[in-house]
Amino acid sequence: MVNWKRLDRARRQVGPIEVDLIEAYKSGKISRRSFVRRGTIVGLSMPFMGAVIAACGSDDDESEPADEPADDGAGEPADEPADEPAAAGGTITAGIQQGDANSGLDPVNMLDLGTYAVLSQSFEYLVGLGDDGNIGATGLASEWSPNEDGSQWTFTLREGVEWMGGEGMLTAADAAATIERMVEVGAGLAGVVEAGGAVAVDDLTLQVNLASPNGNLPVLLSLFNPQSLITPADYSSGTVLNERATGTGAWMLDDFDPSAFRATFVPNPNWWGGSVNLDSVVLQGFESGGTKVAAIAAGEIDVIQDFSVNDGANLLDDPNVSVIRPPSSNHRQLWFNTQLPEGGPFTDPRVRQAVCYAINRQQIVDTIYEGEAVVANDHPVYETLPFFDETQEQRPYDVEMARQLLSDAGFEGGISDTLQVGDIGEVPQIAAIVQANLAEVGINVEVSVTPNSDFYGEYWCTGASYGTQPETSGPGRPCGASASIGIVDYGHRPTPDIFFGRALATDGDWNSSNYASADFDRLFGEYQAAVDVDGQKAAVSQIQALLHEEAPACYHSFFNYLVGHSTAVSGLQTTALGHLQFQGASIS
Amino acid sequence: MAKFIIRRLLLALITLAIILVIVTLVPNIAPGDPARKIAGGTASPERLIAVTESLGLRDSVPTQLADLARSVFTLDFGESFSVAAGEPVMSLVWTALWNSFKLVLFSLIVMVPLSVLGGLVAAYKKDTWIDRTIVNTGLAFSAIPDFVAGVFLLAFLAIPVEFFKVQGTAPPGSSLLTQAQHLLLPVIAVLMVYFGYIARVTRAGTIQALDSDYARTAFMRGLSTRDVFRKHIARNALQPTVAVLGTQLGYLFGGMVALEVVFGYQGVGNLIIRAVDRADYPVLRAGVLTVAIIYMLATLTADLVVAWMNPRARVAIGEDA
Repeated sequence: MVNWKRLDRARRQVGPIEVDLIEAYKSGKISRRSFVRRGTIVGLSMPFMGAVIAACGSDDDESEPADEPADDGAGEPADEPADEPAAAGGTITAGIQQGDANSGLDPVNMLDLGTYAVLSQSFEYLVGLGDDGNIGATGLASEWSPNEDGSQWTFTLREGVEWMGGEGMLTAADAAATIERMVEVGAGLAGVVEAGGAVAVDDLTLQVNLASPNGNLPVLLSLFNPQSLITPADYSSGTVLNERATGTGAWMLDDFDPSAFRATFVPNPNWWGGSVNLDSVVLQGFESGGTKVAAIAAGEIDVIQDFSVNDGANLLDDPNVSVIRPPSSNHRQLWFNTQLPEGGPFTDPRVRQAVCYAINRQQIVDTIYEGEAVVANDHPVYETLPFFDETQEQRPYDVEMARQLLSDAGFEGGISDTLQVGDIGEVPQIAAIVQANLAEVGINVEVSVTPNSDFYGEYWCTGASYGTQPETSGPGRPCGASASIGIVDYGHRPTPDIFFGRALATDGDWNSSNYASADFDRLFGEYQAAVDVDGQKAAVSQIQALLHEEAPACYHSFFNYLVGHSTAVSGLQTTALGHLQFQGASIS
Repeated sequence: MAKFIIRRLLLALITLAIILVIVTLVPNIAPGDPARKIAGGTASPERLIAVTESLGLRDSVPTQLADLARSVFTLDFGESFSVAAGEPVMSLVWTALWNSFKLVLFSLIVMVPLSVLGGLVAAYKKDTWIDRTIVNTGLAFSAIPDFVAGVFLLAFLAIPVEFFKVQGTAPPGSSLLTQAQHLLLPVIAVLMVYFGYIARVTRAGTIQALDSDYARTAFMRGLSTRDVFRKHIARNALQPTVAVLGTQLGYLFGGMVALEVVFGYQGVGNLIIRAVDRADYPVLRAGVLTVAIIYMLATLTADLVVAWMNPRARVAIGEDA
C-alpha cells in the first residue's frame, strides 16, 4: 500500500534525477536493493531512502535489505557485534600482495592491490564503502548531489577532519587539487573531468564540473577508483607516504620496510571517526600466494588480502578461517582483433561467435574456479547491477552451432592461430581449456604465455603509446596489431564504465579488440549521460545485445574475489580491489 | 703461502672482471626492453626514455663497464628502480646479505656436525645396515629439490605444528631465539638437501683414510679407535668435505632462491630473483657481484683450510712443509 502523502513529501525534497529514481522503485522497475544502491550513488541518505521504501510499502520480494549485514559483501559492518565480545587492543597482521616498488607508496600512481591496502589506511576517499559492499557516505564527503542533468556534482565535506602531517584541516581545495592530479595522470577520470573542472566553492564544498553528464561520478571518486585517495593540496604526483606520512584516516604509518614491503600502522588519535579497537595493524607483503595461504592456515597472519582457489582451496573448508566474498566483476576477457590482420578469420563476427559458442564456460567455472565464479554472457555487465538486462538469453555451450558458424564463414577446414596470454594467475590454465574447447570445432590455437610485463605492450595493446608497435595504430585502431586472439585480466569495477569506455569504445586505450562500432559508442554515450535507472537500463540492454551479436570479445565468467580472516577477527571490511578497513575491526 | 694467496687473489680479480663484463652485457642483450620491464607495461614513452637513460643503456658498453667497475670499488650502485624504488642498492644488498648470513650460519651449525658425524659413522660401520641407512636416506633426501622440500615442510610441519613458522623472517625486534625458530624450517630443508651429499663425501674420505698405511700403523701402535679418528683420520678424511663446503657456501648465499621465496625470506637469492623479475639491473648487478665475491672468498678460505690440514697440500701450493 503506497503512502502517497509521505511519497509526495519525499519527492518535493529532491531534484529530477532523484525523483526519477523514486518513480522507478515505486513502479517496480527496480528492486529495493537496486534502489538503495543507485540512491547512494546519486547522494540520497539512508534515512531518506528508508522513508521512500516505507512510503512505497514493503511488498518488494527482495529478501535482503541492503542495510543488513552482507555475508557476501563487505564483510561485517563495523558496528556489527562479533560472535565473541570485541576485545580492545591487540594487533592484526594481514598478508597482502607485494606492492609494486616502481610506483612506491604514491597514491595517484599506484597500480597494485598491495599498495591500495597500505595507502588506504592513512588516506581516505571522498566516497567510502557502504555496508552492502558498494559505495556509501562513509568517506570524507558526508553528502553529494548532481545538478538537473548530471553535468555538475556538488560534494559536501565533513567538518573537523584534520591532516595528521600537520597540514591543518581538510578543505575542498585539497580535494580539488587531488582531482586535478588525477586528471593530469589519467587516473580513471579521462573524458569525464577536464583540467580545471574541480572547484572549491568554500572550505567544505567541492563542485565538479564534468566534460559531459555522468550519472556515476561518485563511484569514480570512491574507493572503487583506488587512485582517488584525497591527499593534501601540495602532495604532488610522485610523493610517497613513507617519505611524507600524512592523511586523514584512522591509521598513521609507524614503520615501512620497502624491501620486505612491510608496513606498520598505529591509531590516529585525531581521526574524525573516533577511536579504534586495535593497538596496531601490520600489513606484510608476500611474493608467493601459496606462502600467504600457508601463513594464514598456520595462524601466523590474521587476514589474507586475497587468494585464488588454485592456492587456497583448503581455506574454503578451514574452520578457523572465515572467507568473505565482496561483490566482484573480476573477469578474464578473451578478445579478438576485429580488424587485423585484414581478412583474418577473427575479423568475421561469425567466427568470433563460433569461439564464444565453443567455450565451455561451466567447465571453466567448475575446474579453474571450483565453483567460485558465475557464467557470463559475453558482455561485462555484472548481474547485480540495477541496469542489468536479465531477459537476455544466455549463450550456451554449443559445439554444433560453432561448427555451423565456422562453415558459414568459410572456415570449415579449420583455423590455426596463437592464443596470447600473460603469466598472471589462472590465465594460462583458462587458455589451456579454451585451447581444448576450440580444438573440438577445428580451431587449433597454440597457447603462448608471456611475462605479464611484456604481454601488455607486445600483444595486448601494441599500438598504444606504450606498445611495441605504435605505428600500427590509427583512428579506430587504438591497439593496432594486438594479437588476433588473447586473454587479458580485468579487476573489479562497481559499474562497467571502465570496461565500456576503455576496452570497447572506439579508440578506447585498452581496446585490444580494435572494436570500432558507432552503435556501441552511441549507446555508451546514452548510458553515461543517463542519470536515471530507466535510461541506463535502456542503453545497457542494447549494449548487451550488441556485444552478444558482434562478439568483439568473449566474457565467459565473473569470478569471486576471496578474502580470508581468522575467526578471531571481526568487523573487518573489504572490497574486491584489495582494501582492508580495520576501523571497526577487533581481534579476540 | 703468501704467493699462493696473492696468486689466488689475482685469479679472483680476473674472475671478477669476467663477471663484471657479463653483468654489464646482460641488460644490453636480454630479450625485451629493460626500461619497459622496469616502468611497467603501460608506461609512457617519456617515462621509458627517462628509465633507459637512468640505466645508462644509452652509453657505450665500455662506458657502462667502467661505471660498473667504479661502483664496485666505491660500493655505490645507485638507487633501486623497481625492487624498492629509490632505496640505495647497497642498503638492500647489505640487508639481504645479513639475512643470508644468518640463514647460512644456522644451516652450517646444524648441517656440518650432523652430516660429518653421519659420514664418519657410515664409514666406520661400512657395509652394515647403519651405513646403508645413512647413505640411502641421504641419497633420497638429496634427490628432492629444495623448494619441494620446503613446500613439504610447510604442509606437514608449519601448518599443523604451531612451533614451526611459515615465514622465515621473524617480526622486527624479535629475539635471537625467535629468529632461529623462524629459520628452523628453511634450515631443515637445507639439511635435507645437503646431508646426503656431505655425509657421502665424508664417508668416502674416511674410508680412504681408514685404508691408509698411517691409519693401520696407528691401530697397530695400540691407539684407541677414538684417538685414531681424532688424530689421524678426521684431519685427512675431512679435507674433501671442507673443499665441498667451500664451493657450496657461495651457493648457500645466493642460490637458495626457491627456498627463500617459499618461506618469504629476504635473502640475497630472493633479492636477485626479484631484481631479475623486475629488471632492476642495478640491484641485479650488485647482488650477483656480491655472491661472486663470497664464492671466491669461500673457495679461497677452503683451500687455505685444506692446506692447513694437509702438509702435502701446502707443498703443492708452494710452501715447504
